[in-house]
Amino acid sequence: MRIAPLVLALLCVPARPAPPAAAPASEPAAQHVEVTAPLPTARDEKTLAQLLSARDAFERHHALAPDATLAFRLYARLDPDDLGRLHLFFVQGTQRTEVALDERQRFALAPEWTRAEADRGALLQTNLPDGAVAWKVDIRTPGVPDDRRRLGDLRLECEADTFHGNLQRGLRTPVSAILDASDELCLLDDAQVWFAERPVFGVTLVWGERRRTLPYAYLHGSTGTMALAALFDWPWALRERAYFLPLQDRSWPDDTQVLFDAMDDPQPEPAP
Amino acid sequence: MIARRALVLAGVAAVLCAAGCSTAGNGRMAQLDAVQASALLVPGRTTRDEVRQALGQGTVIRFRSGRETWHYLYREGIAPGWDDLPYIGLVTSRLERPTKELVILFDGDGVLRRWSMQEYRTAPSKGT
Repeated sequence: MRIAPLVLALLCVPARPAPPAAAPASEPAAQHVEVTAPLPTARDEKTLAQLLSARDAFERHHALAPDATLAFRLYARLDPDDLGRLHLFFVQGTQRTEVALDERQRFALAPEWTRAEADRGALLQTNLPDGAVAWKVDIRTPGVPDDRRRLGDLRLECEADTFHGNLQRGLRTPVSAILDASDELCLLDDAQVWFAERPVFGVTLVWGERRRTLPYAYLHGSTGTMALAALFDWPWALRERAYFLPLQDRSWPDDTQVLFDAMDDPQPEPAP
Repeated sequence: MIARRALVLAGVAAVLCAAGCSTAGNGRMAQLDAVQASALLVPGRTTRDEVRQALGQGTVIRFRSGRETWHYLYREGIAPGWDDLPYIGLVTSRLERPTKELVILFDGDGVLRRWSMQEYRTAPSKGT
């Protein structure tokens, strides 16, 4: 993890107005002092190379969501209030440029970042400490409402993120590396965690007349262990929104709708 | 030697197949149906203590918001505890068995807000 230097140039201004030209020679001259100090802690950041790697995987697997576009999204991993103070910067050497985030803390690759001569070691760096942010690939087919996602979009997010963009936290085991090499990693239910827009109480797959409400094992990291919490994105502020998908079951087409039943929604009437 | 190993395996299989079930709570989940659940679990009124009294303690997940879920899982066919054993649990938890699941959501004041119950046969691969 790199620590970008914080450079503060302080110009000491005399407390009194500048003396007239005829002032005595013993008057002290104004001093220019430059102070350089490292940031107190590492910042949450990714390299441009990681984002470009996600972009490459997105293009390789684009057939999963032909109409979708690629973006990246930042989530508050530990404290929801962090979103209010979150800023993102593109850092290249000593140059630091703020990156605009939309209302969902998303950003896209700028054209100049994708040129062949772009510095792949440049950083996308937040102003928050390392660990405060969860980074996700965000792929959306236009026209899908907030209370649902398209399964092919989510499958493509997995392909672009896990072991390619490598944005989400998680255990990278030798077995998963082998599966990834054969493009089979995203056929594992545990490969990727997603976050709904609101705290979620149920997730249902719908394709025509076919429906499957996912068992609770797919929600809230309910089969996970907090002993390894530091290694993952879901255990803290995002836990209420976390869900997994039955990626092993390829019988669901990419156009399958993934519907969310929010915690704040009313209790449905019992079926007659 | 082979005969002895076969005998041990047969013994293990017999224990596994003994009539039983695995469940969280006090076992009432086995008989609970949607009508009974609707009467017992009233959003905005039923409390954690009342649920504990009726169904026993579920498996709890607490969220930073103060909300929590209680999870009850009833699986037919194998006696309690086997799913939790190292190595053996890897096999038993993947067996396709009739399963009934109840999830209850409580708000920060301990009042029930939502519940859902479903039955399925396919063992979820997630987390097993």
